[in-house]
Amino acid sequence: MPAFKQFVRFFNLLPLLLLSNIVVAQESKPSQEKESAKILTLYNWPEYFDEKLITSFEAKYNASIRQVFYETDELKDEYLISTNGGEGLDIIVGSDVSFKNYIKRHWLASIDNQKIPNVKNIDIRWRDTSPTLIPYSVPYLWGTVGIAYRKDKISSPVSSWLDLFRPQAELKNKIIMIDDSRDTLGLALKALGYSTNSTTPFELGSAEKLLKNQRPFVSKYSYINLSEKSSLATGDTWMAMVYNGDGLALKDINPNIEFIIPKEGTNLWVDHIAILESSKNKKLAYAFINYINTPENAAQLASTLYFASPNSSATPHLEKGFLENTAIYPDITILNKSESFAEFTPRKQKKRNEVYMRVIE
Amino acid sequence: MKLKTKLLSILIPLILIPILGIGITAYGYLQHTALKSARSQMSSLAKQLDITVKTHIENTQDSLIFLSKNRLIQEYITSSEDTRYYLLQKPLTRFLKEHQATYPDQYEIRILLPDGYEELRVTNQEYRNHTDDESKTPFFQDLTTEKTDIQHLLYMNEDNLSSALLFSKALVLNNKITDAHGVKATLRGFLSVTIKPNFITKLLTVLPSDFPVDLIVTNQSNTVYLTTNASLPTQDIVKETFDFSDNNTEISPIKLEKEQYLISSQDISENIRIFIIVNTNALFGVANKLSQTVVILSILVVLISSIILYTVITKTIINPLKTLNEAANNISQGRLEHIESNTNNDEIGDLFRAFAEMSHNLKISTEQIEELAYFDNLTGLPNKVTFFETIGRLIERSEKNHRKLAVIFFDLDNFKNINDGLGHQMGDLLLMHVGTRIKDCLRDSDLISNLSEVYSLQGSHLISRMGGDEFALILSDLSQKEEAKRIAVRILTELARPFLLDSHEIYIGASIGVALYPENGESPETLLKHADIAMYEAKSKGKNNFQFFEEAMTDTLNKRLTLEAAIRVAIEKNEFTLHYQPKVSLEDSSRIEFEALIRWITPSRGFVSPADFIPIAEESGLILQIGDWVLDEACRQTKQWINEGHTNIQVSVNFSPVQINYGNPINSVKTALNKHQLKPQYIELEITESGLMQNERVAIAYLNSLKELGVSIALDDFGTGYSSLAYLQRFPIDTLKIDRAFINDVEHNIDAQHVLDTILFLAEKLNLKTVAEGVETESQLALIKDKGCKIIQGYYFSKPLPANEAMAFFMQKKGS
Repeated sequence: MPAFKQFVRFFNLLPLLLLSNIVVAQESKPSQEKESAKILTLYNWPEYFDEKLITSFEAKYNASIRQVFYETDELKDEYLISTNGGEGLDIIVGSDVSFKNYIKRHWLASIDNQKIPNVKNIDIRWRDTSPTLIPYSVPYLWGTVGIAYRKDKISSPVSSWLDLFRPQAELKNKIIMIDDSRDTLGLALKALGYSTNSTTPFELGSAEKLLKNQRPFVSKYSYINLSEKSSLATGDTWMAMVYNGDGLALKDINPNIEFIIPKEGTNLWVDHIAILESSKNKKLAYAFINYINTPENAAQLASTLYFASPNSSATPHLEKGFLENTAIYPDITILNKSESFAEFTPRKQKKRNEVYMRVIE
Repeated sequence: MKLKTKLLSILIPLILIPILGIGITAYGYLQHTALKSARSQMSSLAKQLDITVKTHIENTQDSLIFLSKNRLIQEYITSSEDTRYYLLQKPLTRFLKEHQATYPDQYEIRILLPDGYEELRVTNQEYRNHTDDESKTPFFQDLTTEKTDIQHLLYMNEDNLSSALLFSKALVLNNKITDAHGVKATLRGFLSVTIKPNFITKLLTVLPSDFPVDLIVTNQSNTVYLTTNASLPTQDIVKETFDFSDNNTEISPIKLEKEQYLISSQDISENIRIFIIVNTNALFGVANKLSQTVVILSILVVLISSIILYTVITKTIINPLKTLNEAANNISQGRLEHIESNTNNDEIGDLFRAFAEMSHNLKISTEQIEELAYFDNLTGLPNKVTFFETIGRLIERSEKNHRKLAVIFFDLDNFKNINDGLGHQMGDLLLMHVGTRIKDCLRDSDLISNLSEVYSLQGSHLISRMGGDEFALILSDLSQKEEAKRIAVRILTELARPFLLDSHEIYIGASIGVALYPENGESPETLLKHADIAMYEAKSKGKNNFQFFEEAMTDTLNKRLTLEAAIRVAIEKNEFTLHYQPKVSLEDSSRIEFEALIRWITPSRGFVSPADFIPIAEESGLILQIGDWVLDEACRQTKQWINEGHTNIQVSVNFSPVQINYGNPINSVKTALNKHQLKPQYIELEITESGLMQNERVAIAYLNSLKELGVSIALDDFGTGYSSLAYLQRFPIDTLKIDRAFINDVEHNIDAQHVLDTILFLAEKLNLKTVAEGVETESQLALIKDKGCKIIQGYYFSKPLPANEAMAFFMQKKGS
């Protein structure tokens, strides 16, 4: 999953909507002329791409890449709904789970693997995690969720999810949680020893209770800022739930910040990249996905963003230190305890949604 | 009934009746007005309710239509479950939350599937959702009827157990993605918005708070969903209203459970019916409040006016009457206090003034009576009563102040003579003057001189007339005896000055006795007695002097009293005898003359000298009885001697000045002569010079009377005392008895011889008989004989002898 910047929802959404109109307007005319294929619009988390790769791609293909960002998965969904599946967008990066729904709504274009020869570089293990996605998307990056915290502020060592969900008194209003039921509710279940994908009412009820008791310690449910102005760096926040790559990025900003993956295990997630059904530049889009999956480019993307690459051909191009970093490539013991997202029946998903919404509202 | 009660029982109703009259009229009027205004308020409330509730319903309906057209909702309801829950639930929930934040009264917004499954619920209230399956709940069963319009209905929300007003719109839509053109839209579900029907009842808060209106909200089948007053018998009201009248908008009075109501009902919509209920009893609250106020006011008025009237009546009538009553009581008991005059100009005031005047006059006359009781009418001095009233208290005060107190007691010497001689009027005049002079003596001192001073004991000195010519002074607050002495001397001096009364110049004197507290006694009686004793001592010391009381005086007095008692006994037992001393005539040898001299021999004391008992008899007045006896006895003896043949005889009897001043000498002499049928020429009365000089005019008058009787009068002890030769001419005297002192001196004193010569010469010229007393020797006799004195009395011839022996002296002399 990506590193994102914190945007105010309003300011984020507004230019996005405007943009979509402009894009559509622009697309409609030049689509008749061949020249128009040169602009490719990428819908992604902020700072979840390597700028050097974009520059090199633009140069190589005489194309222009326009990036459009979303702040949360929810906003991404809303935007897609409001634009009938992302009209004006060409490429989208997102979680495997969300992509499954997009496929059902016919928003993603099926991929002709002949047109993306580098797909062969993708590790079978990551391809097969979600078989339904294989005809539609290519794995992008994978990762885990952990705890970033200020080791200089917190007296006791942090090693368990309960250190986050049942915090010390000193942490009051000093925690930031991810606004996502899969991570926050899922890992609360994990902290209690249940499956992150539990749907039993009792286990959900226990997790709800745990989360409600945690609320006074949480200053907000949002994704933490990753810049130098991050509240974790300034000391206003002492502990935050973050994706592993972001945890490492924060550690670089301030040496007092520590990042760990709790002993109970964590979520294993995979982000995919896909081409939208409504895209008018599918050809260039194939070229783009193929481009980022060359061994060198895949390695560059992973090492820039501190996330593990599902592209096995990238491994020889990665530094030893990167490959041995357990924050990026967790121990087998942790991996064994960790879970990927399951797919629920709709009404079970509804229940989990309701539990989560009751907590954060 | 007392006067106060009577007045109040008349005045209070007079005040109360108008108040009650106004109160009752106003009560009726208010009731009528209240009913009228209640009806008009109910009508206007009905209109207001109609508008407000309909507006509310329309607004909510508009809101629901707006929501139902929302793309997200349409998308949601037409999407498959996984799209709904994975993609749309969160955005839709958030959207509806925002909508709800704008319309918070839409507290529950739901999306229901046609089978009753509660697809989505957004609420701003804290309560648990009991079930997702609403297919069995009554409100949902009402919804399933095929209606695309917005329906609204009242129902009981089982989740929060309160009445709810549900608005619901069936969502009949095509699925844009899957449905081909021309496919008929199907029922996808219901969008429902629930609001609280409280806004209906909240309307009441804009009404005036004293308007006792209540509302009941029901649906068309009269199920009660809301009431503003839980204590109302809502079911009965709803039922009664419909039984009673078909015309709902009519306001009808209904009586339920003893309460009177005005009720109207109206159908706001097909599912909402509102009853307006006014409790008539409560409506009369204002009127009742008025009647309460009137009652309270009446009580207050009665109380206040009672108090005011009570105070006024008490102050202006009752108190003055009480005061008058008390004053009358006081007067009847003799207490004459000053009555505060009432300044009111009314009749009570007049009565008061009349009463005050009466009391004042009564007081003056009472004071006058008291003055009479306490003051001597003649001199204006305090009397004996006052004396005793005062002295005790003055003694007490002196004791407390460690001061002395003196009682000065005196009477006037010779007052009887003046009274007898010049008449009582002159005597009274004299006493008045004496009073004035005594007052002058004490002018500078602190004198108790009027009644209030007597009562308040204001002053230290008191002069009182004790009766007759007796006066007593109390001098208190004295530091020493000398002060009393000084005043006694001053009194003596003042009284020694002549009094000029009606052109008479009168000389009197006083004998003053002084007793001192505490030395001479501590009780008023003792002090007065001792002052009296001291006064007698002064008198016995020759009058016109003063004496301080001494214990020895009591002895003297006691002796005197004993003697006096013995004299009385002697008079009774006839212990006195007369001895006769011969008086020898040198010219007529046949002449027999005796001086009768009293002799007293008692069984207990033996012989008592006349010098001892005569003064006492004189002071006590016993001399009058003794004198009468002596006269009587002398007359009897003389008569006896005459009867025996001794006709050239004369017996002289000593006549005390007391007998002249205090007795009835004429009568005494006459009685004795008549009794023994003795001719007066045989009796001669011997009167001492000093006895006559005290009151010359009186003495001359008596002597002339006696002389007229025929008795002869001898001036005894001549040559002592004043021996005024003028007397000899003025007094009708027959004989001069030359005092024995001359006779004793005559042999050795040339001067005495010259005086004797002069007396004898004068007697001869005035044709007076002369008798020489106390001749004891031959030489004396020779000398006197030589000088020309014709009658000799003395031991040379004979001492006084019993009658027979005395006669024997002459018989023997005749015989020799």
